[in-house]
Amino acid sequence: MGEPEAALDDWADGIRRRSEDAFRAVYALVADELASFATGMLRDRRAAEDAVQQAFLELSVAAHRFKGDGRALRAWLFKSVRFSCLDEIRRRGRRQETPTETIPDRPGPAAATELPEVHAALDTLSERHRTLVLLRHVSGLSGREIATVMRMSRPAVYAALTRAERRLRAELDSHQLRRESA
Amino acid sequence: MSIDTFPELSALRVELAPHIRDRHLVEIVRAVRGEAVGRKAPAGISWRRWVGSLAATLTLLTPVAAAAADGAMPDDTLYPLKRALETIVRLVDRDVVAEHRIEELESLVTDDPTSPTVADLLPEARRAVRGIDSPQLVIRLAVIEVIVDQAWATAAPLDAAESADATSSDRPVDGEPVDEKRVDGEAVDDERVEDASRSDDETRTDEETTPTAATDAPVDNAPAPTISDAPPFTEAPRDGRSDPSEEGAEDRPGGEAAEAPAPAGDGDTPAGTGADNDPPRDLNDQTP
Repeated sequence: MGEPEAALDDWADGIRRRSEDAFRAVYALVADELASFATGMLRDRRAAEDAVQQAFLELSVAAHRFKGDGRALRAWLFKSVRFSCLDEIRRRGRRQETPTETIPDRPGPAAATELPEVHAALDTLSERHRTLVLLRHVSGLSGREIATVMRMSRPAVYAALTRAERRLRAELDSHQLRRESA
Repeated sequence: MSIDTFPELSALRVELAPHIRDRHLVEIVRAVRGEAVGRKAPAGISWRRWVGSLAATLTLLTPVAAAAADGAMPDDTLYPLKRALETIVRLVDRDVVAEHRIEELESLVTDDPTSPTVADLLPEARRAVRGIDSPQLVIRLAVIEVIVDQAWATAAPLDAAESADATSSDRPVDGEPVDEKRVDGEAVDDERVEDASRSDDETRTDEETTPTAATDAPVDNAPAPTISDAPPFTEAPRDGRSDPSEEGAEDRPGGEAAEAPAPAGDGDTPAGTGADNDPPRDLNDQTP
């Protein structure tokens, strides 16, 4: 078990007791991971921030019903953020909106050139595959946690993730080839 | 594959700005204390007021009522009437709703940019503005966001939390239409076997595949209400699909877990994943 999970274990009881300190601590531990995931899903930093806040507000309401350890807590939050993202995407679909390109708060040196290509490559994936890739490679969730978030069995997660990774790798490589040849 | 297999994806990692964290924590602490019931809860507004609003709505055709409600702010009595009128007007002209939110925010931000009402209205205004094509409103919203961000960046978060007005429960009803609630239908369907035979990677020897005591809880197949992914994505056009059969499987209602079967009795679903542990679909949906 990693350090963050162990730390979350310490706060799971506090969450059930609706301790303010527990909420602050859990927020500090996972907010960035949640924001990264939501940003990848929505490509809109503001909307992603709203999704993160909404997840914690929902947790504050449902805390007394929460069961499980730190790992389950983290999965719960990711699941909530995913639901919020799906709602937002559905709203956009109804309004025929195109998502706003996200500019990271602290973009790395490669971000400016790679971000559009990464988004374009992710767009070629289905929603499920895109979600799996983001959970695994952006937020760093384990296969077990992803299985909980996605309500899939672990073998199903691994199978789908492998297919998604292959397709994403092919897309990213083709983008790189085009860039180098240009 | 390890996490470092896709270094390109590191560009997607973000860190929340300190003032955003402070703003979130203030709202979260307020919710934990029970001072904020939730964004969508019409807390503090009695049924009598709703009946009154309904009666007023019935008379909305009278120009006097409509004109009076037009300038109402979130804390005003006539605000519900204004929102009710908007739901009708929105069918014809969506810009009006966005403009109302912006006007309300501009007025509220002038008084207190860190007020909970502003925090509630901002996401709503963003959604409203995103749905229309009006550069003026986008600019006005951007100015408001800058003001709010700066106010939060300079405000002491704990002070703000302590001084939060308990009347925040009188916040306005969220303007989301009823039909925008999340849709049920994501069935737990770990028993499907169709994709298992296609997978050539199920033998993955990741350390995470080793069951531990914490993961030996039984798979919870309770038909808990969850979100259906299918509607938004089956409608959205996507390019580059190379595996139609696979995508078709995902498009089926309840096809959420159709990727591969759950091994019988392997219990690899982690503990605490029962229906009770699912995030609520809506803040109003907290009934056990």
